Amino acid sequence: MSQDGLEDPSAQSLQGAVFHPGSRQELQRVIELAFGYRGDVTLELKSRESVNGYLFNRVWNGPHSYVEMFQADHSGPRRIPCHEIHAFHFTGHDTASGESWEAWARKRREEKNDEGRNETF
Amino acid sequence: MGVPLSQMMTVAGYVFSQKLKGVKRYPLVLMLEPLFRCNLACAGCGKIQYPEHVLDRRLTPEQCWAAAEECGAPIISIPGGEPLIHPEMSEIVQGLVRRRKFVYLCTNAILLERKMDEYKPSDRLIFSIHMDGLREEHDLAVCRDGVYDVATKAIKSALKRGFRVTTNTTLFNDANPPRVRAFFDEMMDLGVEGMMISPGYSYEKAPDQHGFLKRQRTRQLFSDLLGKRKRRWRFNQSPLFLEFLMGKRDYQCTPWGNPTYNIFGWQKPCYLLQDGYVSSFRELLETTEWERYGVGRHEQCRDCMVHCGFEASAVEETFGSWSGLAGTVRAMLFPNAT
Repeated sequence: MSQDGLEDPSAQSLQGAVFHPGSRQELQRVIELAFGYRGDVTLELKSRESVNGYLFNRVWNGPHSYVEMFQADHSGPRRIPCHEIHAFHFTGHDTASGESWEAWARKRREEKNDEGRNETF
Repeated sequence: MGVPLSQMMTVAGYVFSQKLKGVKRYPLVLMLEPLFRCNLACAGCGKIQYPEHVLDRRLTPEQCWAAAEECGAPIISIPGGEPLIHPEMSEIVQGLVRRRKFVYLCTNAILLERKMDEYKPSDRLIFSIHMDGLREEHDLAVCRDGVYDVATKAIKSALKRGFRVTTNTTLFNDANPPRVRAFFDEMMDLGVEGMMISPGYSYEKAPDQHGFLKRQRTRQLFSDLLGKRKRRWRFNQSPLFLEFLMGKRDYQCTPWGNPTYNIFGWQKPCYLLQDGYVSSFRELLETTEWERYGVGRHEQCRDCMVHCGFEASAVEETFGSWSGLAGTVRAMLFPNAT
């Protein structure tokens, strides 16, 4: 499988990663990654069409396997057969990256530290 | 007693009817998630992390009523997201009450006072207010100062207007038993009908990954909380489930007991795990490989002791045997007996 933008997908957010699965097993693995990803992905289809949205479901049923997406333009859900997919681009912001919570926790720690310092004075 | 007799009798009648019909897997509580958008971003919540266009989507009233009818559970719990953000929520609730369902509307109460006029008090409508502890702990858990005060004010207002009000509390590994017991006192002083408590589930997508309880620690915590229980504390849940949390009983999960329906469809296998979606409740029951899930069967179920998986197991024990029924009566009358 050729993959750009990420050395080890399990170690960090997939945001920005691109996958070109070369085998059925690789396709299945990348679909599982996309299914667990809490951001939009862009699927490049073999027909050269590009579909952007949130991949919320995948159904494994041999040659009839498919994924389901809510498209970012608010349309859908759209069902796409797995064998029609050429590449996966993890284009959307990873909403589960925890950035906003970390910022809030940091701010709160700083406020507590400031309170402590003021009490010392 | 934390659950009114009429509600208990409805649930008992429903369970007995399922047993008489020989139904092996039946739902008790439908977890209906009409939207994922929330006006809070709590540290321990993994439910709301989606792109904006997904957060914009909502179930229609007709979809909610159809799900309730298809599933057939006597109780509907409406979590989210924050349900009160949904512009048609009062219509959804009204329709469910008309269908003779007991509806638990789970809210953080920030919008409750503003929206209360849209609802009519009913013995079938319960505002279940998210309260994770006393002021300091609650505001910390919901990552916003002042929410505890807003919620307590809304509780008082709802009670004054004749609504049924309960609280739902999620506990994490930093829970301090004396403080939580003081919180139980405070909720009883406010006059709520009953409290619901549960350990938090280790959501993969929750921002704070360090606060989740492991199994042994959960049992210890709940023993400390519920041992030498005050008679005035009322819990709006199965007494056997509380004993399970204290480590006095052991259950396997009953994931079909609280099936989940949301904008993606019927969620496999339960409210907490997302392993795919199907378009009908029947398909959920028939195509989910239930034996793959539960404690000792699935990695993500390892430490789970959450009510949506195990309360149905406790109810099944209550109505499944004379000893279960006797145990339930004993646990209700003598909660501090060992």
